[in-house]
Amino acid sequence: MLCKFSSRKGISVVMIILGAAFLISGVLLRKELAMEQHSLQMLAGFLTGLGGAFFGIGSLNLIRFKIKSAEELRSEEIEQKDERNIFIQRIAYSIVAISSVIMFAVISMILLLLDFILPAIIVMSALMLNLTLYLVTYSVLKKKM
Amino acid sequence: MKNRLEEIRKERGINQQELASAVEVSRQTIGSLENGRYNPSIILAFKIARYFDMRIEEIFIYEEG
Repeated sequence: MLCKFSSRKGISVVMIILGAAFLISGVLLRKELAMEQHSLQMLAGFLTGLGGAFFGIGSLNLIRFKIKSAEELRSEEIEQKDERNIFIQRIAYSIVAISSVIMFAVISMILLLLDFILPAIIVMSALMLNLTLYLVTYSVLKKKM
Repeated sequence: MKNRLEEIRKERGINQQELASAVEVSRQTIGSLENGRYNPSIILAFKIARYFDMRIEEIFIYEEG
């Protein structure tokens, strides 16, 4: 159990380091760029945001490990790995995935009706990619099990 | 699938939390198993059977249809 805690701590430390690196590079990149370089400005903003999020989540997790007792951490771990929770999560993911496919299809139809051909093609391509990923994942898992 | 989990647990004077900790699941999972709302994986069924030192089929009763 202690080994699991330390591996989770390790992940938090890696997140903090990565977060700090992204954050610093985002801020530095933003300083170096001219105002007209919109795409790169957006990239710098994205890096800063991602870095901030990684740094925040990693730090909060480390604080959590310090504050909480071993017993509390163990029950948290059990809660996360609980087979019923995982089962519920998988059903929820499946429902969301099916809803997303239907939503993508409806959106692409609406875009076609509104004569937005390029966005409609992009959405339909995403839909096709989604379905292809499903078929690939299904066949890989079928061979493995 | 029916089970005698609640009956056996109460016979042994164990509460849901104690059983849950022993078989490494949440207390809610034990509650759901006892109410018949959730069927356990074969691993969990084995863990529970071993905890009570019984055979799986003495705790979990499979009914056709």
